[in-house]
Amino acid sequence: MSYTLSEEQLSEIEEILQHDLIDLGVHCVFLIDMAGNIIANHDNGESNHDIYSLAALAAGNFGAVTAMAKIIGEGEFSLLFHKGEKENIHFSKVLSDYLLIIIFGNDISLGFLRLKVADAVEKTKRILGSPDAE
Amino acid sequence: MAFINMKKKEVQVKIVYYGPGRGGKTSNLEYIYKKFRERIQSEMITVKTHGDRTLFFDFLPFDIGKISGYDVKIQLYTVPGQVKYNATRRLVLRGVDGIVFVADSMVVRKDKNVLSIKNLEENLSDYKKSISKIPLVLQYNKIDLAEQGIPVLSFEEMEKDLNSVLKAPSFSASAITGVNVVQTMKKIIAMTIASIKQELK
Amino acid sequence: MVSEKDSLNTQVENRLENLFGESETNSLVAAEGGDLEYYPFRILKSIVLSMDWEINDEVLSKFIEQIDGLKDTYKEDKILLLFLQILRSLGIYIKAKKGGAHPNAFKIVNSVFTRLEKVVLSKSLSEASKKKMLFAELSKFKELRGQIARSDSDRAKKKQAAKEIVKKKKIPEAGQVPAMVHKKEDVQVGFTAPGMQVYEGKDLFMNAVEDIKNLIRSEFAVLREDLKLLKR
Repeated sequence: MSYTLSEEQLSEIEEILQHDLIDLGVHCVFLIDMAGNIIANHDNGESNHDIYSLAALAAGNFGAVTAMAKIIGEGEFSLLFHKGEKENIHFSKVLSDYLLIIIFGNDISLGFLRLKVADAVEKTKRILGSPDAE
Repeated sequence: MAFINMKKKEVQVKIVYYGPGRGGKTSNLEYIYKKFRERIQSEMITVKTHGDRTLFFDFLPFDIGKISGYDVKIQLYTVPGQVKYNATRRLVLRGVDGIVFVADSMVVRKDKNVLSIKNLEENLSDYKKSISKIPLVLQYNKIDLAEQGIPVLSFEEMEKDLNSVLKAPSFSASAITGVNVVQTMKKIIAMTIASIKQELK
Repeated sequence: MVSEKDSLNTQVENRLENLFGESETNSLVAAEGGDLEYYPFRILKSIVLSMDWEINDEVLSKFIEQIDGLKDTYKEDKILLLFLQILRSLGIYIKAKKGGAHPNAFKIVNSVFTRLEKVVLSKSLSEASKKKMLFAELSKFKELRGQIARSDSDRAKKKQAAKEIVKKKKIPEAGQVPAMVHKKEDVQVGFTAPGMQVYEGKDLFMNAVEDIKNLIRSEFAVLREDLKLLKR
């Protein structure tokens, strides 16, 4: 079994990643599915991360944390965010099958990022939920 | 589920090595990684316990070039085999396209193999997948132990225990020395891609 | 007896010195951490800090509400009033635009509040210094207004351009067949080390890939046969 997204959908998603997030100053952004596959990704030209491994770990991490949430009686957590000294990672669920992962520095406040991400997620949901997605 | 990227003309395929604890799943990946180190550009990711047992998963991605005009990216995963890590195994199985079941040929592990393949069947059904329909290869690992005088089950006995109904392709192997490791991998990749090839057209 | 009394006095003196000493830092500590009820910006501060984590309508409404209250309290103090007014404008702008707000708006909220706190808490700041701080924040605020105006006009231009493209795209691109590019199916391999081991690895992998491709063809053939059988 497999699924696919059209060129148009992917282009639109990449446009959102670039315009709404990279242009904001985040370092790296990628949209993955829960199996760890990378749907789309963008970076600011200075990032050189192994995004395939990051994607696999992110999917596993999110899955593990969601399982923990269920054990403690929560549906899911509304904030999944890891703070580093210089780099931070923020996770957002998009529909039930995708994750938007953002790596950003300390020059962007989390509160503001969450606002921008909420917008970006809404736009991405509309594209992924459109009839082209099989 | 394999993801087909129409824009990049790329397919990502997830293959999981499953089986009882200490059966040789990680050893399979380690062998592949070492053997093709020059070619597999990415690092192998392992999330282990202090005792060197898989805690979360091992992960090894590599490209195998173009097939039907699509760049095929293979992602090999292993799961932790210990019984207590079932929730983790379920997570890693999400979106799986093909499975290698690595069974332990040691006589003392006979029951563990059977329990593990039943566990696989259950976890797959949670994702509405059937063990008899998903691309599956069985590997009867640790045949090298016979030379050391450790009792191992024969190929026929392993087939009877694990493959009498499934009738999946199977190999005797030794992950430590590399016997049939690559052959197992090639077989599962071929089967998995064939099963999604329709959609590549 | 005397020594006990002495040591008690010393303790008391030291304690009093710590609590009510004359140095500026002590007075700051007393204002911030000592008697919380006396610090009228405590709630606003906690709102500004919480905005580091989450920004939503509720938080922004509380923010504006707090500022309105403080404006009333400090209506006689022109400098504080202006600081508060800048914060209020920013709050209303962010509330209206949310994710669409200019990123610098948030940075300026923090910097204005930090300066405001300094002005409020520091007993020894001269009027001139306070005014200087205020003007610094005012000019940032004005600069932000300019940036917002520029980015709004850029966005309007982009929208217009996008509309033009959509109009053009609607005309079907008839008769355009994508060029057929036949590329080698071989995996790209690049080696710099000339050792024998490396060549072995390369050959092995290439052979493995070829084998996989042959296997895929035969697997697919088997599948096709199976399908035929099912159809009967």
